[in-house]
Amino acid sequence: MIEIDGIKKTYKDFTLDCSLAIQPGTITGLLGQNGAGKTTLFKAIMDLIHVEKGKILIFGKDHQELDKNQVGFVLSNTCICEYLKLRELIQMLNAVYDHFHLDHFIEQCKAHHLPFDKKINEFSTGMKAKLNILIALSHEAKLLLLDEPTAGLDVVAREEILDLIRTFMEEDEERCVLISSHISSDLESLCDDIYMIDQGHIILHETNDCLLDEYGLLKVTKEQYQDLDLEYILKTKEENYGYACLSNHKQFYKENYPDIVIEKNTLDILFSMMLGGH
Amino acid sequence: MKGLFIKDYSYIKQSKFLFLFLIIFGLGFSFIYDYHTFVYGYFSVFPSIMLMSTINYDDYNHGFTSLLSLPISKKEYIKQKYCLGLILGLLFLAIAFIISCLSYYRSLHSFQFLNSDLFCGCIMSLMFAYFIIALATPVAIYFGSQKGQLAMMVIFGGIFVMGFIIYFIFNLLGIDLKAWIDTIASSSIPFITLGIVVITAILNFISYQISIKIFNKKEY
Repeated sequence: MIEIDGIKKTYKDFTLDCSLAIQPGTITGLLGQNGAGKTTLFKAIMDLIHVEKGKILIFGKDHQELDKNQVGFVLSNTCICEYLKLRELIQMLNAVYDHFHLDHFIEQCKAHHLPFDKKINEFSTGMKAKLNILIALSHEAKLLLLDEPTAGLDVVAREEILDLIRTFMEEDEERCVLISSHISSDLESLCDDIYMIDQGHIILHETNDCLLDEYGLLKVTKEQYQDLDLEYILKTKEENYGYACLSNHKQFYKENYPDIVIEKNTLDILFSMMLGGH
Repeated sequence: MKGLFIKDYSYIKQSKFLFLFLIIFGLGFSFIYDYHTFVYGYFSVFPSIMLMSTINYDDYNHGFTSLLSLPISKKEYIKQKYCLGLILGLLFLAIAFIISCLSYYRSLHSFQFLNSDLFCGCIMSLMFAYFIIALATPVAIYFGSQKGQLAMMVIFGGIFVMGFIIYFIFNLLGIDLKAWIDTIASSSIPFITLGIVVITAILNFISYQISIKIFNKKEY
């Protein structure tokens, strides 16, 4: 559904240089620190910035020809037309989108207690985040591009938003979602596929199942480390007890090194090891 | 484009008290000083100011990023702004015309003032409004909301200074500019009006093309 092939965008002290592919029917997570290039990537997909090289295909067409009726886009901490009241914004959206579900959208706004006669810039962070998601879900989009949709929200509000995304995917198996977050637990519970980005480069791509089943964190003493076969070790980090080693073949070590403690992988562990290990 | 008009109408609606104040001030000034044509010049600057304020609203807090993620092309956005400028120009001219008619009628107690000179004057003031729009829109698009207001002040200041310099040079050369303009105007005002309409239309077309280029080049 989305093919990004070798795009490059250079800023003064940052370069985005990456490739990725997003399949129909999947939720793909983009995990990275603040400033890793997540937002730049989203902006490139939406043709809000000009890339220097590479190509971006969406639904088989160049991204510059993208019909934005087919996309629901959320950018963290920004809202459409913040000087408008919600009531006015709804009228505008109804006129802008080809297939805006007006009644359903109004119902959803009421259900989430969004005030119709208040300007958007007076909304709380949570209200703005919910509004952004509701807009993205309101017009029969086939693709959701969500950049930090849960940033700054409490656990309950985050869960509400994740549920809305899950419902969106259940309604049509051809839909797909690209979601970024630096809150790895959000992505862990939601995504089928995970990309990890750092300093503008994709440093890891795996399915979520593979990451959770096949990756593991080996905790070894310095003596155990000496005898360890390092073939399947991706990253190593020095710790008080010896070394923490990230492996993508934890079964191999389970079978061949029964004395070693192997912790179940989480995205937090993975994130920390991929960025902090060597 | 309908959605963009709804948005801008909602913004402009928020300034309804300012609108009312401007009308009352124009009305008051015309009536108190019996200066019947004052409102044409007075109202001719407001279309551009209102248009620029809608661009500033759009740009507020990364607004263009969100706006351009909707099914709105950059070209469509620019086109709508020039259309809005056209409508605002006509709207303010209509208000100015009503106020000036009331003011004239109050003094003359007849409709003798409704002649070709007045209509040419109306068109000229409208063209002046469109001239400022042609000048200010690419600047507002280029500089955005933060520097845009400063750029506007520089432009308006520049127009004022340029006018003053031209007047000063003509004075130095011993040419009475006002009398010269009056002579030309009285002899062939319909042709001059037509010429100004054509020039303003060309300027707006060029301005529109520049705005599209700037908008396409910018990143959001």
